[in-house]
Amino acid sequence: MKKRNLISIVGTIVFAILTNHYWLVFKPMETNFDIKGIGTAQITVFLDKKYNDEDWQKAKSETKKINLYKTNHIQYFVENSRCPKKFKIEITDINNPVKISNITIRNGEYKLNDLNSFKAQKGKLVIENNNLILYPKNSQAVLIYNKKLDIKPLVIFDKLLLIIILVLTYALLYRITSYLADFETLKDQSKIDKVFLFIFFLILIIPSFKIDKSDISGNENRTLAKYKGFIVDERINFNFGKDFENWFNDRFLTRNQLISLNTKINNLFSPNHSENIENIMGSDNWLFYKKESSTENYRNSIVFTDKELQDIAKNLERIQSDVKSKNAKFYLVICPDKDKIYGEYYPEEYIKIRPDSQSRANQLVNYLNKNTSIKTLYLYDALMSYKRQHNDLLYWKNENTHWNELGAFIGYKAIMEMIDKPSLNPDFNVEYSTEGGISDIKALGINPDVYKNVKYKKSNLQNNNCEAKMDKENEAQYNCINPNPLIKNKLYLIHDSFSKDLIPYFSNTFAKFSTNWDSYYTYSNEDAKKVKDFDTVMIILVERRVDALRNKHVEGEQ
Amino acid sequence: MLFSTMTFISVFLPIVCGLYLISKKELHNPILLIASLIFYAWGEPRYLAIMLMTIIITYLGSIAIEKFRYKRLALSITIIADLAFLIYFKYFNFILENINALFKTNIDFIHVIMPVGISFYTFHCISYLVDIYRNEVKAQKDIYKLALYITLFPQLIAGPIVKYHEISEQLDEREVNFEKVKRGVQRFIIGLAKKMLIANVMGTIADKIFMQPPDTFSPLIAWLGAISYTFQIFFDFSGYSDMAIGLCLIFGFVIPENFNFPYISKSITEFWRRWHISLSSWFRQYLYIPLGGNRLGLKRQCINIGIVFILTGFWHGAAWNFIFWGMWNGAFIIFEKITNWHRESSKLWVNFIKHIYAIFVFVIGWVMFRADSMPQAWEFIKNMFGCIKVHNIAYNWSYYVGNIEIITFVAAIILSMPIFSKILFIPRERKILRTVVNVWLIILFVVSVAKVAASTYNPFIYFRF
Repeated sequence: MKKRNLISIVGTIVFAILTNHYWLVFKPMETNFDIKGIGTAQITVFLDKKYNDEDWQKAKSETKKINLYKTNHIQYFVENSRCPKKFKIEITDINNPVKISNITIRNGEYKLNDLNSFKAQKGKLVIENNNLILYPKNSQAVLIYNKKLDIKPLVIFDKLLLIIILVLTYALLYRITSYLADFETLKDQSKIDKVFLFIFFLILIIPSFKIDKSDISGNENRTLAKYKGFIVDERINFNFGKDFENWFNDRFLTRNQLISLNTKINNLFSPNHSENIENIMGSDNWLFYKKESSTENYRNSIVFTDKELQDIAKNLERIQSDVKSKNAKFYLVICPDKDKIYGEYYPEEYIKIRPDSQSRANQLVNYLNKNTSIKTLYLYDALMSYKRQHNDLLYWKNENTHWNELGAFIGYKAIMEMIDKPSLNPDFNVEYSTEGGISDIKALGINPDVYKNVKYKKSNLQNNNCEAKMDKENEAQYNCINPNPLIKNKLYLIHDSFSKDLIPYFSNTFAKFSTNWDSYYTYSNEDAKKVKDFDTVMIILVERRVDALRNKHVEGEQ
Repeated sequence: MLFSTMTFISVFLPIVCGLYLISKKELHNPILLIASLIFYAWGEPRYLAIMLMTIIITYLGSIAIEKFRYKRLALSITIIADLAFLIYFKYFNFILENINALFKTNIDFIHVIMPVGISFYTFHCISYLVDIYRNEVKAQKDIYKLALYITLFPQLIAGPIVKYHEISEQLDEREVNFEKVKRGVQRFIIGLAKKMLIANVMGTIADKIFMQPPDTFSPLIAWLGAISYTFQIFFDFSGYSDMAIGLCLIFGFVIPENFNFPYISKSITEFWRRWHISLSSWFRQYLYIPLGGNRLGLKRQCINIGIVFILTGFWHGAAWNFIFWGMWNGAFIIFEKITNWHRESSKLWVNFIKHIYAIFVFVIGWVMFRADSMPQAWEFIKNMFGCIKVHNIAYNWSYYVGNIEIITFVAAIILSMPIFSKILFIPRERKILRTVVNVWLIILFVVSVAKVAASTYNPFIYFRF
C-alpha cells in the first residue's frame, strides 16, 4: 500500500509538472508609451527573454498602424514574453522624426527612465527635453533599450485546473499500480547482477532517448528516411513496420558512435584491409568504388556474349539512324574507371582474370568498329599516355571513382581529336586539395588528414553562359550558348556524372551545348526532338556501365 | 521483425520487457500475446491473417478431437487444414515445377510469398493436436492461451519447436524471478554475439566462395567455403535459439535446449541428437514413433529413418538439394544402425576416427544445404576432393581471409566445444569471476549492437550515376 501511494504521488507530481503550461498561464506582457510625429507609421514592440540572443522574433506584439499627428498613448501586449530581458520598438513606413516618451512595462511597474540607455538602429537617436527623438533612415527606425531588464512574469495560476489534474492523475495511477508486480524478488540478489541488468537495460533504451530530426546526413550525404505513420492519407499503411525501421535506423541516438566503434574494431584487427559494402581502400590510401560490379570490371572477369554485343550495336545504330536523319553526327565515348587507370594501387587480392586489353570496354569498341559505322572512343589510351609522361593526378585519390578537372581535360582533348576539331588549351596552374569523399573515407576508418598534402590541378575555365535547370532527380541539365565559340558546331550530350567536369570545356568550345544527365543513356523522344537543333550528338558513359547500353535504347521501342 | 535489428533491440524489447516485468501476473499473458502479434505483423501484416486462421482452425479442431467420437477423423482434418497453408505457401510452386519437368507441361507458377515462420508454427499446431489426441494434455479452452503458445514471439520465426506438453503448464502458471531474468539476459547476449560476431563473419567468407563458379577456386578454398558455412549455420541457428531461450526465460518460460555442441559428435546419429534437437525430437515423436520406430525390425526401422529424413530435408526448403541433404543424413544414420558404428568405443583412436568421419559427413552435407542447386553442390564437392580442373583462379587467399576472419575461426572452433558451457552457472560466492563474466558480456553486447548499428549505414556517393 505504501509503495503504491509513493509511486502514485511521484507519478502525479511528474505529470503535473509536465502539464504545467495548462494550469500556469503566462499573461502577455504589457507595454505603454507616448509617441508623436508626422504622418503614420507601423509600430511593433519586442520583449525577448534571451539577452545575448540576436534573434528578436520569439516575443513580439502585433504590428499597429498609428496616426502620429497627435500625442498617442499606445498600449501593446507581447505574447510569449515571460521574463523579458530586452526591449525594442521597430517603426517602419516612416519618413519624419518621432518623439517617444514615458515608456513603461508591466502595468506601469517598470519605467524605462534612463534615456541614455537607449540606442537607435537604422536611424539616429537624439535625447531632448526628456524625450527620445528618433530620426528614421530609409523609412524605418529601431529603438533599443541597451540595459538588461529584470521583469517578473505575469502569471495566472489556475488552481481549479491543477486540483483536477492532481486528483484524477493520482486516482488513475493508484488504480494502475494495483497491477504492478511485487519487487520483493530484488531484495536478496547480488549487487553485481543488479548492476549488470541495469546496464543491459540502459544500453537497450539509450538509442531511443533522442531521435535525430535533421533531414540530411552529413556523414552519409543523403536524405534521412522520414517518419510515415500507421495511417497515411486515411488508409492503413501496411508498410509501417519497414517504414518505421528505415526511419529509426537512420535516426537513433548514438548511431554514429556505434558505427564508428564498429569501424575502429575492424581496423584494430585489419588495419591494412579497409573495405565495406561501398568502397575499398587500396594501397597508399587510394579509394576505389566497389558497387555496380566494379571489382569484377577491374578484374575483367565479365565479358559480353556475341548476342549482347549485337544488341548493343542494334540499339546504338537506331540512335545513329535517327541522329543522321536530322543531319547530325553520333559518337560514343567510354570513360575508364578509376581502377583501370590507377590499378597499381588496387588491393592485390583482386587478381585480374584477363588483361585490360580484353576488358568489356575494349571488347565493345572493337566490335562496334568492326561491325558498325558508329564512331567510338575509349579514353583509356589518352589518359594512360598522359599519366606515363606526367606526375599530375588525373583522378581524385580521395574520392572513389571520378576523374578530376585535368583528367576530364585529357578526355576532352581526345574527344575533339576524334571529331576532328580544334580544342582549347587552358593553363592548369591552379593547385588545390579537396575533401571530396570524406564520408566514404571516414566510413573505412581512415583519417581524412592523410589527404591534406594531395594536390590536384585545374584551370580557371568556368561554364560559359550556361543556364542550368534541375530535373526530376535534382540533377542539373545545362543549356549553353557561346557568343564566341572556338568552333561553330553544336553539341548535344547524353551523359552520367563523369561529364560534369567536361561542361566547362564543351561550353567554351561549342557554339551551342546542351546536356541530358541520364544514367540509363536512354535516347528519349524528347532527346530526338531536341537533336534537330544540333549537329553533334554524343553519349559519354563510364566504363563499368557499358552494360546499360544493352537495354532498349530508344524510348518507345521494344 | 528480427532480433538483430535496432528496432527490436531498442524499441520493441525494452517496451515489452518493461511492461511485462513491472506488471502483475494477470497481465503477463495478454502483454505477451499482444507483443507477439505486433512482432509478427510488423514485417508482414497481411500474413497475420494466415496465422490467425491457423489458430482458429487448431482451436476448433482440438475441441473436436476431445469431444467428438471420431477423434482420428477430427485430428486428420485439422492437421490437413493446417498443413494446407504450409503446402500452399511453401511447396506449391515446387510441386508445379516438378510436374512441369515430369510431364513436360507449362503450368504457370503462382505468385506467393511464404509467410515467415509458417513451418514453425504449423508444427506447433500439429504437436498440440496430437498431444490432445494421445490424451497427454487437455484441449486448451482459452483460445488466447492457445494463441500465445502458437505465436510466442521468441520462438515464432526460428524455433525452437516447443511441443505443447512441454509448455502447457507454464502458460497457466510460471514464475518470473530475478534469477531467470538475469540468465535470460545473459543467454540473449550470447546468442546475439554468436549471430553478429561469428555467424555473419563466417557467412561473408562462405558467400564470397559460393557465389563463384567452382572451377575458379582451389580445393583448399572449397574446403574453406564449406567449413565457413558449417560454422555460419551453427552459430546463426544456435545464436537465434539462444536468443529465443533467453527471451523466454525473461518472461518466465523454461523451454528445452535446441543445440548441444553438435560438432563434437562421433556419428551422425549422435549429431542429430545434438543438432536442432527440437526438430528431430518432433519428428521422432510425431512421425518416427507412429510409423513404428524401431519396434518392427531393422528393415522397417531403416525405412522409417529414410522417410523421416527425407521429410526433414523437405521441411527445411522446397528444393531438391534440401531433400538430398536429408537423404544424405538419413543414409548415414541407416549405415550406422546396421553396422553399430554409432556406438561409442573404449578406444580413443577409434573415437577420433569416428569424429573425423562425422565431420566429413556433416560438412559435405552442409555444402548441399548451402548450394543453390544440386548440380552446383555436386561440382563444389568434386572441387573439394580435387576432382575438377581449376582454372582462372579468381582471388588470392587474402581476399577471403583477413585477421578478423582468422580470429573468428579460432573462436568458432573453441566455442563449438563445451569448454565454456558452465560459464553462466558460476556460484554466487565467486564474486570476481562473476564480475568478470558480466563485464565481458556487457562488452560483447555493446560490440554486437555496434555491428547491428553498422548494418544501418548506407551512404550515397555525391554524384548520381
